[in-house]
Amino acid sequence: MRTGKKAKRKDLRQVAFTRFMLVVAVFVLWIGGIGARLVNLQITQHAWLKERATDIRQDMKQTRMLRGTIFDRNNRTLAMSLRVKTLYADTTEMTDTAAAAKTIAKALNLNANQIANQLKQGKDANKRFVPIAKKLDEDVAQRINKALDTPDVKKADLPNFTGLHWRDDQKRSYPYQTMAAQVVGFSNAEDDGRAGIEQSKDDVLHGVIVKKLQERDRLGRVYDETTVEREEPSDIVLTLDSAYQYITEQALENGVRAAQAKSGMAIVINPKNGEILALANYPTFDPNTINEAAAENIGNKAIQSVYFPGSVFKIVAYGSALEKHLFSPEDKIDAGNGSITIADHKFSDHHTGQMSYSEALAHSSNVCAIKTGMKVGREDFSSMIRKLGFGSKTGIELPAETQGIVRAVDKWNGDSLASMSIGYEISVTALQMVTAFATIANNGVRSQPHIVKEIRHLDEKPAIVTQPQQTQIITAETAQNLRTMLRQVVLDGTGRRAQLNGYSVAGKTGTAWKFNAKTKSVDSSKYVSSFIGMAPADNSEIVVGVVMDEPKVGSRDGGMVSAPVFREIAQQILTEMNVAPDSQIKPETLVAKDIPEAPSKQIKDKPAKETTDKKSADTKADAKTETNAKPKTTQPPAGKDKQDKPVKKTNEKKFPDSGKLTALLQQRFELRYLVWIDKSNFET
Amino acid sequence: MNKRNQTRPARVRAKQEQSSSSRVRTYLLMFVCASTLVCGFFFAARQHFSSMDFGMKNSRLRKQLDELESEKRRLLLAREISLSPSEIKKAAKKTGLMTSAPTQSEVAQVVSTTKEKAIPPQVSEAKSMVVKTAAVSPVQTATTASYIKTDKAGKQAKPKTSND
Repeated sequence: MRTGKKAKRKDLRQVAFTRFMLVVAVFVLWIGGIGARLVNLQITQHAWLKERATDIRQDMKQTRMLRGTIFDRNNRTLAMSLRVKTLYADTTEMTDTAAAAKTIAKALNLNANQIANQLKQGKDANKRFVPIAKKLDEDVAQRINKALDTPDVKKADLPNFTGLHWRDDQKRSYPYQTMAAQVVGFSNAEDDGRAGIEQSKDDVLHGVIVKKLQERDRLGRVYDETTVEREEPSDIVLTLDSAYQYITEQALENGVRAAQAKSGMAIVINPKNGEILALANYPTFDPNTINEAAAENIGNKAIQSVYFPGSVFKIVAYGSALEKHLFSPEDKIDAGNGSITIADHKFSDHHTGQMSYSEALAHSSNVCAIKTGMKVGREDFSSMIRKLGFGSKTGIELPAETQGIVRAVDKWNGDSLASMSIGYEISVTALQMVTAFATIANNGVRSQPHIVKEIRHLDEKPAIVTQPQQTQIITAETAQNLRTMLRQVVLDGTGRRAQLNGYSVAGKTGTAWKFNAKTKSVDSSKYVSSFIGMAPADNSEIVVGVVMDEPKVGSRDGGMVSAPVFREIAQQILTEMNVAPDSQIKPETLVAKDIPEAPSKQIKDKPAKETTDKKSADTKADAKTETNAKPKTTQPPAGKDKQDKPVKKTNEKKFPDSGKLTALLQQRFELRYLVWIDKSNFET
Repeated sequence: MNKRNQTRPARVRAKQEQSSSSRVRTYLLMFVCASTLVCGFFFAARQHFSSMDFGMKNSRLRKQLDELESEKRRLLLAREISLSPSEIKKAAKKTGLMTSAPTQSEVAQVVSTTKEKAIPPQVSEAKSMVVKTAAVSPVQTATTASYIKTDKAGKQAKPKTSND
């Protein structure tokens, strides 16, 4: 009995143990299964799982920092970027693209079929970025959000519409529209500079891409954000002054229209430090609407186009001779019968007999300039050309600057020196020519022209980037003598229309025939007329260069076409700069007589030798014109600029009388920007 | 008292009393540990959610900062546009300070800037963190002449000269 009881208890224990072991076995299997699955997930599928988890929780947002701002010297904004938004569709999130397109089209007032096509194509290609509306302002974006709001949809970002999202974008604005368009340039939709400072300083202005790692909760709300810091784009301050730029552009536009010229350019430079105060081209363009701009107007012709300078270049011949002490301004030179033959090439002129060197330059005598150049000699003449910066880039911070065309001395022809003495067989840019005059204005010291004043980093002291390189090119004495001679040009010579009220001016006119690439010779029907001057003459604050391409009205020479534009610009800018007047010239003497300047030479371009007959025919025809245009009045003696003799006015039909002009100028100064002279006042 | 002298129930009772007191101490210790753990969890959770909350507020503030900076830029640009010569000319014309010049084209105006057609119909104003005060980008309207057109206009208005 006792044995049976014991055996029964033993069986029960066995059963309990077996059951326990079964339960343990089940647990072991269960945990083992889970463990195996975990091993499987974490070893073989960990990469995919990690990516998925990160994808759900984290969001990498890429935004481009706003492009740097371009200011003028007075911190007026010339170019600035703004935040805008682009609406795009993530078609992978959309189920019914047709219905979505209908709603979107209605909300955005767009064509439903077009949107439907876009979305369908995107869906087929599994695209996650299908742009719907680009570069919208914040207020427009908010209106779209309101219009697209769908209450049933739970979404972390706006618009509350399945599959639609906003992307931050930026848009470049140029508040002054056409002002300094060729200098400032423009950038494209991808934020890449394409012209002007926008292009040359793209590395400084370019907005870097900033990555933001955003952690989101299950509702898509951002609860943590890590920004990958990058150096912010810098701002650029130009040497331009928007007020002077406006004055220059207005005067140039009026001048180009009055002369019916093909185009024009004007440069205002501070000769003491090489700062470009204004640089204008006309016709111009509006960088805000770059798609509508004519391609030929986008380039900056003042640094990218070359031309024969004509008589303006005579300063090189006279400057070289003065530097070699070959003459003094009051010495006499004989123009002979008005013609000179060099290497079987006859150069004609309408100035005859003896005259002083000052008078020779004032009346732009070709024969005298050629004689002076021949006296200087090839080597010294060539050396002076190079020293004044011709044939090499000025180094201005603008793209695509050309260096001009200056041939080496060993490639000169027999008459090359003579041709160059009067501004042919050499091609220069307007900026090179103005810089040469600035050297004379600055007592022979050449300051490298520059247009970037400083580059500013955020919250940092401005870093001045351009320290003007200054080099003594000619002696101060030579520069002084040249200024005295150039003064005579404005007082008694071809540049009388450049005289200012209250300021002395030294300058030179230039009229050259254009080179015709088709005929490989100069074209006597097309002129490039220029005037480059400095004021006040003895302590110049500004040097202004005006170049007109193919003027069609009047005698078309630099004194008639460009000098009045110079006067418009210089008179206003000097007053704006509060420069003390240094001259008592009365307005009545402003417009006196015209001494028209003919194109310097009757030459054919050497590489393509034209027939002598044609050349002489051209010469005769032009000489006839020159003779007709030659003034009969005698010249007042040199250095009598303050005598204020009223002289009989001519050509009154073309320009306003001086009293009226002065009144208009005064009115303009008083009202500055508010009141501007009507163009017709300038012209009629 | 000698252990051997104790009766069996007394020994058991003494043993039970001893184990019950140590059990209480154990329970107490366990409770304290559990409480500390729970408090720690609560504290950590609170910190976590507080951190998330601050993160969200931070994110909103960053966004607001961006919007304010954008607005500042817009205002700066609006100021520049209103100070531009073309705008001043327009203002001068309006106030009668200058007569209108027929040959001069107008190239800017302070209006909404977008050229895209994607402008929704006017609805009631959406709420924004930043109240926008000006739309600033310059645009060229349909009436604005391109430069070629402007040139033509200039030619039409060309002055009569003696050489013509």
